[in-house]
Amino acid sequence: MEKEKNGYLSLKGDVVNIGGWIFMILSWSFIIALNVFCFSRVFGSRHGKM
Amino acid sequence: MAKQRQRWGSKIGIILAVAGSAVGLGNFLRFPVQAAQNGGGAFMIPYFISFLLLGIPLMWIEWTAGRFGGGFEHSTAPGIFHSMWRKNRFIKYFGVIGIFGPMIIFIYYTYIESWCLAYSVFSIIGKYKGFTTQAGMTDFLQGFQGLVQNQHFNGLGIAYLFFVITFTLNIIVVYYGIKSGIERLCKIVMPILFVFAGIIMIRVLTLGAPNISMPSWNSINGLGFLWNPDFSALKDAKVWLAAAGQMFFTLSVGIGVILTYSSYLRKADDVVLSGLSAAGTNEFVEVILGGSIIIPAAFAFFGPHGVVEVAKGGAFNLSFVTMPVILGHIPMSAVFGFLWFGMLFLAGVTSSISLAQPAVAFLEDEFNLNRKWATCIFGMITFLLCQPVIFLLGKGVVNELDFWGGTFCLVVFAAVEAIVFAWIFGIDKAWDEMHHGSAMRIPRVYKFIIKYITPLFLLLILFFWFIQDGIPVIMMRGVEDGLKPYVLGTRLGLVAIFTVLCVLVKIAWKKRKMATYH
Repeated sequence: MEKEKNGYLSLKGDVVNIGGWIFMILSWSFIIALNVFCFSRVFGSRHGKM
Repeated sequence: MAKQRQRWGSKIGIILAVAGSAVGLGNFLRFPVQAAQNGGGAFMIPYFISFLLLGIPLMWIEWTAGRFGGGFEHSTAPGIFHSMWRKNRFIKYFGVIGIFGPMIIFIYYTYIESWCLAYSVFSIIGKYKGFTTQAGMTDFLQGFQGLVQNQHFNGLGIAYLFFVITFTLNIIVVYYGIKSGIERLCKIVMPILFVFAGIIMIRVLTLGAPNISMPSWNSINGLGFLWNPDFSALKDAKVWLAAAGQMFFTLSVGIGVILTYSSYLRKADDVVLSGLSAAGTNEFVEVILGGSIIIPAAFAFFGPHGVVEVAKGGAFNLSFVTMPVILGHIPMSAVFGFLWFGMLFLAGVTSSISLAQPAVAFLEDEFNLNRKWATCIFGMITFLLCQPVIFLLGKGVVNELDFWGGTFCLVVFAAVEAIVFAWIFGIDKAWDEMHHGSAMRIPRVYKFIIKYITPLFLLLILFFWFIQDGIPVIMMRGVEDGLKPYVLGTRLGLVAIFTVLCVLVKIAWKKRKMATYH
């Protein structure tokens, strides 16, 4: 894999690798789960209104 | 007769207002560059650790402290800190940072926000259509900013016009108050922002390979530039500092804005779930939407070598130079240009109104001015203070304001705030206060985190940040000799503003004491 360093601003390859997909999917899943958890409670309870 | 305190109209209203304050230009511009520059996917490890140990605790601290201070008719940090530490006569002066910081950021932020409005109009009318190179777009931007005179612009007139429109819009929203102004705007603007960002994200991810001779240059592979992990980065303290710093700036904690917003809650209103929801919304915009637009798009058009140069060029370059060039290459470029800059403008306006609110609230609460007068006074003063930013752009003024108002104050304020909350106010009392009216329980481990980890984490950030970035800026290293008078002049101005605010706090407390005595 070609890797040209500019600090950590590296090329990191020309395609998304397995590690990239794993980090992306885990990060997105965590954030989506957090939002579903929060907003299901915000809209689903008496606390939805002040 | 006592004034009736303003209140939020709904729970979703304050969540969207706080999320709107947090969601700004940095979510779309700063985060992807920071992640790409600091280890890609591996950056997300320190990023999420900072979210759990720093971001969420500080959110809860600010929401709780704000609601607590609001119970004593205080909406800003001087009064809120004084409410939490009554024996200390000086803490209220420290709280001045919570008015000073946002006001200073407001001064330059509204001007940058006005560029987004201007560029969204330019996109629709096709004013920069046909610029296919970054050099051409840079020339266009510098002409617009008044840095050079060229065939596109012969002065600052257009930029000034858009600034006045943006500034006036901000002041009008604040003038209408918490429920009818800020909450109403955020309820309209935030869903639109999501739609705009979603459309652009889908467009970018379906770009395919614009250069048919380079099929690997496509936006999906561009995600690799952002997400492929480089684990060697985790051994570097700078990467951890960058992740913690990004978390800090993105959530709008340590500014004083959330303190003010949550002071308009009632004692029985929830702060735990609301704070978490606002933080979650911000992360959604930053990581999912922000991370899927600018870097993948730049990768698809400029390839792996080009995107390195683009990312090194910084956030403003990405927004006002690279992105128009990219969007100019796709069908319906005028519409997508409008959506991109319109989205940045909406993200900016929900942040800037929140930056105006602490100073206005201070005048209302501590000097008993009505909201309209307080807003007018704030508007007149900040309008004058914006002038050096506009006319001395490129002379180092914005960098100085950003350093002192947008960085130094944030880190110091948050560190002291966390210590006062957990140690002076007391973690047991603070824990009870947080759970008063709460819609969910906080995991007990957070009692330990808020008392020990968060303050320690903040002190470490403060120390390393001061060594790494603070000292070089304070010593004006790298500042050209010709710009030093402007930098020093800005510093003197900032000292003067801070001093005036301290004097106002002193007068307000004297008045309050006299009123109590009589």
